[in-house]
Amino acid sequence: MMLPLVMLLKEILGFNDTIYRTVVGLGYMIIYPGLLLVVVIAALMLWAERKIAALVQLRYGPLWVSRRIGGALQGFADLIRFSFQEVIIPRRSDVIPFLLSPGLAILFSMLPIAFIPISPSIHPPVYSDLALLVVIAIISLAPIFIVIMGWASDNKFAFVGSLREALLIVSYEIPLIISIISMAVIYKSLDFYEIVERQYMLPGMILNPFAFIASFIAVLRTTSRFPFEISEAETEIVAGPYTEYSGLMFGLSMGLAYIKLYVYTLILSLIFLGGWLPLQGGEGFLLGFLAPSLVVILKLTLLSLVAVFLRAIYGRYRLDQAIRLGWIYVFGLSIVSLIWSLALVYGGWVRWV
Amino acid sequence: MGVKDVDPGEDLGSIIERTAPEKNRYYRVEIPKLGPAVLRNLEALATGAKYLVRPIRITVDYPRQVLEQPPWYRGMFRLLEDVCIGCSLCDIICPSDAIRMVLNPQKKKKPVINWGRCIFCYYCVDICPVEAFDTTTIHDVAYDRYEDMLTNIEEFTKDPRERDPSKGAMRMRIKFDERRGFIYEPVKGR
Repeated sequence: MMLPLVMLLKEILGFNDTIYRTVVGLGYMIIYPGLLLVVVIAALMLWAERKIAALVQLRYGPLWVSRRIGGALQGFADLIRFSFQEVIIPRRSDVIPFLLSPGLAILFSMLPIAFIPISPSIHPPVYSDLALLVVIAIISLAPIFIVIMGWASDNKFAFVGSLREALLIVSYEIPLIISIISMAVIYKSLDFYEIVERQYMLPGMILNPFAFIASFIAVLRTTSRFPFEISEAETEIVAGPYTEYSGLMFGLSMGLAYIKLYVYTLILSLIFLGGWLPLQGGEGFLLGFLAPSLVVILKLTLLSLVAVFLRAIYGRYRLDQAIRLGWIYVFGLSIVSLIWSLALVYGGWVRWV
Repeated sequence: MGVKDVDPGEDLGSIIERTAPEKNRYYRVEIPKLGPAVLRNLEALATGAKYLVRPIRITVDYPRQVLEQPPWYRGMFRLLEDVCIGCSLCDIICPSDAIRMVLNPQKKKKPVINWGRCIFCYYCVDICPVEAFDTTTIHDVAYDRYEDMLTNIEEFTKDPRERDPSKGAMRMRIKFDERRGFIYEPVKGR
């Protein structure tokens, strides 16, 4: 809505370039690929997760809110309910970290959107040719605040949950970073535009399938999807690090996993699925921005749907099983993917003109 | 992987094998084979996808649909006050202490029921010598407040069909289908 208006204003009034970039950047972060779209997709994913699990388990799933479209507005109804519920702060909690950490976790998991392009014509607010590295560095700060949440709330379930989270961060972030770096080795670039351009013949998931599988499993852990929903295991430790949160704060901390899922699948769809690639981008707002970005969002939605589908079929790993899987298979797979990339590049099978 | 010295009483899970049973304290940690594990995971994914594409529902969409029960189904019942002779047998037989005898304005003993305690065993209906209970198949014991479940004689003589919470719902019947197992179909002609 805002962007064509701004482009029109720029042509008519002869906007100063700095103002134009500021307004477009704000719109980028707050409206289209940023906050508003993230909230919409997170709410729809919450519904899709429950609905898919219900269909596989021979049930109806959410149906009471908006019955005609299968209860699809359930996520938004939950969001409204969380916003108006009372926020209770436990007396023994460490108040400032307790209140700040959900917001900071969300901030650090949404900040990478500022570096990630979503279309060939409109650049992200911060353009850098080292964007991939910056994005990975920023988003791996978010789990630290989950550990702080559990520590600050002074509750034994929260302690156990944040301890599990801390153990699992170590065993799954490293394979994720290694497998993403192995894709950077293949593309010989950390710039998202070059990465997407170089997939014009083969998408990254065919160039290096090991890296795709390893990073997808690591993303499942990082966004605490099944079978790695160990730090929030609700049948064991009420809600893990989020046990003491209520009202809007609980909504924020529960939505954190879905926001991270959005950002990670956005990164994966750019690196492995070729981003906006069937479309090359063209002139104007529609062909240059909207259509390519919709292709990217379609791809990330498909990846997220696969991730939430796993809730229906997997149980939950024990902590030691998950850590063993991480260090033996996923870490091994990421090392294999790095060797595969080096072999492809230095064996001369992949040459970029 | 190496051999690890652990406490014999400790159970570390399925993939850990005891290697020296005579000493009863050495265990070997074994890694499961990769091929069968991957195959099993793919099989589970395929099964889930099959149910996702062709969903089978085994639940009734309750407030809109209710199962039609057979006439011998043990549901809520009411007292026929004129028939009751006040013999207290229902109070004596009741295994969950749901029925109590109270005095009506004519100083005659009559039973009252606490629906929160009733387990619908129908001992009271069976033992009643004059058949003073009128039975229905309604089993929706849903009240707004807990106190509403405690009836007095006047409420116990009211027909449960009048306050049935599932009154306007679609009546469903169980049917057996070759592919899907048990399914529900609406009852016609009512």
